Amino acid sequence: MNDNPYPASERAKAIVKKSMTMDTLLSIAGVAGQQIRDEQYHPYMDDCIETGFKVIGLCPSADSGMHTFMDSLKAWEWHLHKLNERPDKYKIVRTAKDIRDAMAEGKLAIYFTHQGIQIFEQDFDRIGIMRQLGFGYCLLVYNSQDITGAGCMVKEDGGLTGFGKALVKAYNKWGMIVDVTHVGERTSLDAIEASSQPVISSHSPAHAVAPYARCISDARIKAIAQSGGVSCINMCGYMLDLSNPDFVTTDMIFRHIDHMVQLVGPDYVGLGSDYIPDTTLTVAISAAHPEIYDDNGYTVAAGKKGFPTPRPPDVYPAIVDTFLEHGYSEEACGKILGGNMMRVFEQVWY
Amino acid sequence: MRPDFSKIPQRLHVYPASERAKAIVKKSMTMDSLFSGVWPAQWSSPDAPEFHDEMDKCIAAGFKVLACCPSADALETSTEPLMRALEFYLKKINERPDKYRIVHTAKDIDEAVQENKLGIFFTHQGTAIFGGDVERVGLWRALGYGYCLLAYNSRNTVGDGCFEPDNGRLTAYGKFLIDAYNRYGMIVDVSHTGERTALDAIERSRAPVISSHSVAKAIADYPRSHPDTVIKAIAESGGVCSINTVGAFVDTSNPDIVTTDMLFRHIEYIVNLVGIDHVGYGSDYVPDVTQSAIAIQTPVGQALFPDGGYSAVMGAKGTPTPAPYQIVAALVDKLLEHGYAEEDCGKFLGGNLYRVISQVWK
Repeated sequence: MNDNPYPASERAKAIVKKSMTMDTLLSIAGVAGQQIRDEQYHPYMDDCIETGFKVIGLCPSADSGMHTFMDSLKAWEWHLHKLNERPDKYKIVRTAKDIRDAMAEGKLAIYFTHQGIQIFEQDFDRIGIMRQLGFGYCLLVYNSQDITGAGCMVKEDGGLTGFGKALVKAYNKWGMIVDVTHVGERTSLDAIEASSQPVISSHSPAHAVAPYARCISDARIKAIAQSGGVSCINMCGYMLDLSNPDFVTTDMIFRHIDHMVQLVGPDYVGLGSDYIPDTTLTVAISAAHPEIYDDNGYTVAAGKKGFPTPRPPDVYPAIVDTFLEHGYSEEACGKILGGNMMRVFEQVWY
Repeated sequence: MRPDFSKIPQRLHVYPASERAKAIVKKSMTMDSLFSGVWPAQWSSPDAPEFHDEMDKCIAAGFKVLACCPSADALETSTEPLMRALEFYLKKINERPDKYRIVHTAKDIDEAVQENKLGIFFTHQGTAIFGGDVERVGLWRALGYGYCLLAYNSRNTVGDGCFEPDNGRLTAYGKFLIDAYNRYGMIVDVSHTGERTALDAIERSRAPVISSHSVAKAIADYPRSHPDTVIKAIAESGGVCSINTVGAFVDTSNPDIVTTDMLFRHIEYIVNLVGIDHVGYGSDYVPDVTQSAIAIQTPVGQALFPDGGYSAVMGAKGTPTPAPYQIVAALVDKLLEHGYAEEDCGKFLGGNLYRVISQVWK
């Protein structure tokens, strides 16, 4: 793309190409026209492939009243329909071996994630169904309160419930990775303790750098690392920087990553953009329902700007340049770009 | 008193087999293209065999792949029970991940064989699971469903089942559904489907078509059997016609015990008609037959199998059908006796279906 606002060195571009580069949260919820236009789909994926992405965690649906189980299936079906249009380009992956096979076949590996738990309809064995469909991780709760515990927007977090503990055990049993992004602090820490497997945060920045409810605390970053998991930052401007910026800089992104790296080392940090290809509908929802964001109008103000978030294929090489400038080794770059998540997939997925 | 069919003569019968035949089953790509076991109806009575025990018997006999059937049209086909039925299988598979592997591609089958795991894929007998949404074919493929029927005995939105006297054609929706099967790599299965709908479907399909569990009408004149036209069209498409082993379907004397002679007559007939490359084995065995045997004797069961009470008599006997592990080696002996080469036995046992799977699944 000629209009890429994030210039990068050839060295950084080469590192992205040769690494196990992943985006752990690409948000394309719903069906055609909701978070991406139909004609944008393959060109976007081609840009990712061209840049060097090997794996994408694709999010077709999220809790929040919009997506019942049947809605989620519909959204998932639409993605499958798109992926099936070019079977030579994409491969749905359920295991680390599938990812290696996809790379050997020159295909972009795609797994899915649902942000929440409504798709299970409180039936633990349905986790097995979603795993079969290629869902690699799910949240425990999305922003607000649910049967499992508190989301990150809840003021009083009473911790993981008994049901939540049982659900974590069921995730472990089915090889569904526990994702504590969007989850409240105490509920998250309880879940990490309850899980017998590594826990991740798929798309949240560091609270110490930007004290916003969606960001995760040092305690959580440490607990995730101790579990063997990975904390992936996201790249939404208003979460990275409380000035609610119009444009996301690589410095802004780097501050969050570096904070985590200084805290727990380069083995437990990753990248999940939270990028939405077409934010029109999301912006409209935030404008129409300001009451669902209990943050004095901050999210609605970000929505008015269109939720500025860099396009991952544009920004990833430039992020790597900030790593190199700050003395990160190429090996550390590769780990953060996706090697760390691959380690978790190897351990949890089967 | 509730009947107990677990000790009927068919279940206790022993089919002697040579060491050579047993070895052929073990070294071939042996598959059962229709292992019934609709949940909960066919796994849950007090006399039901235990799941892992049944699977171990299949593994010990030399089976590499089973097509398990968690659900069928005419039973509950709203989303909830369908999901529950699949969950039963997933839960069982998850209890022993070292023994089983869900296979989505021919490569998965190869790997399962290498890993000494039993390959399992699923099939739904019907089309109600798509809910009129042809894109949902992709969803069931991703869940591990390798083929589905078009119609189950009766008429539906796709076309006519095999018991419809009008023998109607594939509908416009049926054509779109076939296209979706092709697009997603779901194999078209014309068992239980009426002749004209089946022929239309085979013509429409760009991929080989199979019949997962139906015998030759020329040998057993019963509505579930295929006329020569369908068997020939399947073969011309590059597909496979797998015989079933239900006594009442393979032999219209409605026998108490299925003989290898009777099964062989169907195999031989199909081989003479279209060659050894287009015949296969799909037992239609039901591990726990109690509820089905009772259900088929009810008015609803007889509405689904409208054959003047013939199938009700079959049900009253406990639907005699040999378990795949019970008869497969003896059946190979029968093939050897009639001069079939080991390679031909391997094709019948699963090699032919594996060829179709390699072509259609992706």
